[in-house]
Amino acid sequence: MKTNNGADAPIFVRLLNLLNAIRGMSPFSDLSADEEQLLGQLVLRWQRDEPFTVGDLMHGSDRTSPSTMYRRLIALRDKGLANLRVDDGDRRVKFIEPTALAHEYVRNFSAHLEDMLARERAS
Amino acid sequence: MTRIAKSVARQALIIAGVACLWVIFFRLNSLFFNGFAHSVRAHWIFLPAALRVIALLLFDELAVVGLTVGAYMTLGLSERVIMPGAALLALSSGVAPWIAVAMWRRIFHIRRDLAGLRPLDVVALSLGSAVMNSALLNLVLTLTGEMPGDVEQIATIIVGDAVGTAIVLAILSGLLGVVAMKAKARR
Repeated sequence: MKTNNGADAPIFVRLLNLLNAIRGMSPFSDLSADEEQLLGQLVLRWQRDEPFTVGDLMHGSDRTSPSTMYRRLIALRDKGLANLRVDDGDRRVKFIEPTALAHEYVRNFSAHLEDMLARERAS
Repeated sequence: MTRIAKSVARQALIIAGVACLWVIFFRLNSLFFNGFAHSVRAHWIFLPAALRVIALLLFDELAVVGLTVGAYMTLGLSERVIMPGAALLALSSGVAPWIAVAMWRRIFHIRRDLAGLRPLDVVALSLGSAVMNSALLNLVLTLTGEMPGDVEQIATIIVGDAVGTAIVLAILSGLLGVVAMKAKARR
């Protein structure tokens, strides 16, 4: 099927490659492994229902530098998975809150896990 | 149906599809951005321009024919009858992106199957196509004596094509991105 320069490639191959390039322009691209890991950490902290700030997150890791952590957090914000709410009393403080998309992520993740457990019990 | 007949039918379908999409995009542009028309041939926002690059990358020379047919169909009836260069004008709409894509392919070794195509390539091709379209269109108008001496029209076409393409690509990339995020969230 593969020929010189891909000239004989089916149209759907071209379409997929083109859509991939167009998708690359979007700020809502897939999560990287690091971002996914951070999202997992955020989900755990959101479950505790205690407000926490960008500063808490940046200085809460021994293995990742604060600037790297901040960069990953901004990536999650840009992808619509975290919201940074400025504190009313001190504008320097920003709370990290889940968005509707993050809630959906957790819901679907939980549903998938429950489904897996149910199938495991049934087998 | 023989293999040749099937191939011809497939090619005719692609040409007709591209032409129809051109007409649809053209009508949508008139519907939403009619106020941005600089003249009958130049718009500050021109959505069908996005179709030029996308169709060219997918269908090569068949897209040139489809775009030309589509552009001819969207010329006013009076223009088709009165204007001697109407067919040339329509042809420039298909040939301009073809030249831009051919040049970019040659310089940056873009494969025919578009493997490894970068977002930057799509943006550059869109801009190149806009510049080439403006140059060819105004050349045709000058050759047929239809150029009104309106230098602003040259810039309008470049900006209109670039903005129109940007709008369509932004919508497409946004939709694809959200779909990807939703799919990821569903996993």
